[in-house]
Amino acid sequence: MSQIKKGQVVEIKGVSFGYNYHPVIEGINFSLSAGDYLWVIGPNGSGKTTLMKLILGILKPNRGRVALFGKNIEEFTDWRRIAYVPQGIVFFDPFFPATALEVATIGLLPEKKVPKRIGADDRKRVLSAFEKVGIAPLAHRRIGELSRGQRHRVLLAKAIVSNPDLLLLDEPTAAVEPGVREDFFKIVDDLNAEGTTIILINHDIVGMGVRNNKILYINRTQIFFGEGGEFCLADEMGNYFGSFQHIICHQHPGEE
Amino acid sequence: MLSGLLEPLQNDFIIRALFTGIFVGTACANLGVFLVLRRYALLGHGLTHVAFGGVAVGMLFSAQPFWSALVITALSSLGMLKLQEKARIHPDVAIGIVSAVGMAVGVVIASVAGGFTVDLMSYLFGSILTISPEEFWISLFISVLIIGFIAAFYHDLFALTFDEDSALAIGIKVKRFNVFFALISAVTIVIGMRVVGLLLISALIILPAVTSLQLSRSFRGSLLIATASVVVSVVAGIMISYFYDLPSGGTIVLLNFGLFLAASLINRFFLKHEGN
Repeated sequence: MSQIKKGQVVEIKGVSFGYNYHPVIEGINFSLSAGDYLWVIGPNGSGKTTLMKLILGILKPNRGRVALFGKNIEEFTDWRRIAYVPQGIVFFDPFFPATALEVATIGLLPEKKVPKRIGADDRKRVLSAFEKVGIAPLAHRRIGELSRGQRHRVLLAKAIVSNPDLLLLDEPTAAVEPGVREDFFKIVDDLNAEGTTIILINHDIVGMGVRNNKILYINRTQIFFGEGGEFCLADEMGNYFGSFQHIICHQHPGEE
Repeated sequence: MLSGLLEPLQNDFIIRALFTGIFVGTACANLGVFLVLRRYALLGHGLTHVAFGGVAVGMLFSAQPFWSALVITALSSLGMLKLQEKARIHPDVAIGIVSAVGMAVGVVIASVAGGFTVDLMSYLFGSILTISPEEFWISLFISVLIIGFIAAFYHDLFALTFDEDSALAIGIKVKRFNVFFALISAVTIVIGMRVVGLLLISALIILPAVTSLQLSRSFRGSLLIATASVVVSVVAGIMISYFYDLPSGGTIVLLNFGLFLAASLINRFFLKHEGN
């Protein structure tokens, strides 16, 4: 992993975004330091994925500023420090002609300079990412033949192969089989332990058990941002999670 | 028997035809894999109509139709790309409008310029056997540039074909590549119109790609299979059209379709693909 400079990994200041005067998110303010693990929650349609796209520079905010590693996102070019596991390719073509290995190799591109060449060493790195994620035997299978959960693990391997400083995951376990869910979160936990900053969007409250230390709750506007411990005391959490609030707070590391 | 088969190779024009067909076909097939997977196959077809208009304009002003077609098709291709991005017209409709207008322009100008001459027909149906040395070298050069571009940027192109958003997220200049795709499509169609003609060139872009999708499991494999199938169909097509006095453009496209059918059968009965 590259040297992380002192300062914020992610800075979101007064960010709003919408289409044609229809706001999707408004007034988002938070920042993350290196090694933070942010859990983003909110109901469907609350703008969580939009926020993620703003952080990745796929969308540009109508108002406010997004900064990554101390640089305004417009000037930011060091994309190899950031990796992204999307929600699941919604219109995925099951006949897309690519092996799992080819897809995961895309993760190495940000560190390559033109002419981009993928060599034997690179292939080894991708294969070891596959082993970490538990899908080594699937490397040469066509991506469309894999189950949704397996495909998602390919995308996770693709994200971690470049040893990113910041990893964003959007509902990563929505399609993953229950037994595999824990493994998935363990991998992300391990990465966080090694220093990777994590931003995770996840509905899967029960059985989370992740080591997140910060929580962001948005529903178009920002409802809560703060330390994990604080949120267990907040009323909004009770309203959103109902009886689950107690389950989460008991599972939360550092509680009790 | 073999010497009989090789007899046509003693003719310069056959050698030129074979090389042009192989190089231009390879450019078409490789571009085609990307266009088909990105759902832009219709764009290629629409551009052929525009190219017809471009050829007619060139003939009207006694300019080389090749260059007038190239400029007009390239501009239209970029125009269609802009339309898709900015206006609230569905891409299908944008392509439909531009290509219909291009064709109509061509038809009107053609009749003004003196009717549908044999020359104009040769652009519609192809005339690979009468390619001039000049056109031969230009087509070869441009094909090599196109193939070289795809080879040089293979990984980026694969990444954005797989998922545009993720490609953007890792810093790939997707917008720039879309502009290149638009230009390369235009150029490929213009150099291809001599090979199989404007009416059929989109087949040379689409069919090898679709054939390869029946058989390949890797992306690299798709490009190779598409290339192989277009080369086989071009070589066989030219030879068959020589021996049996058939139109080479149509023969090549029919062979392409035959290869697609064969690939589908192989897929259906011999390959373990989901959904079969």
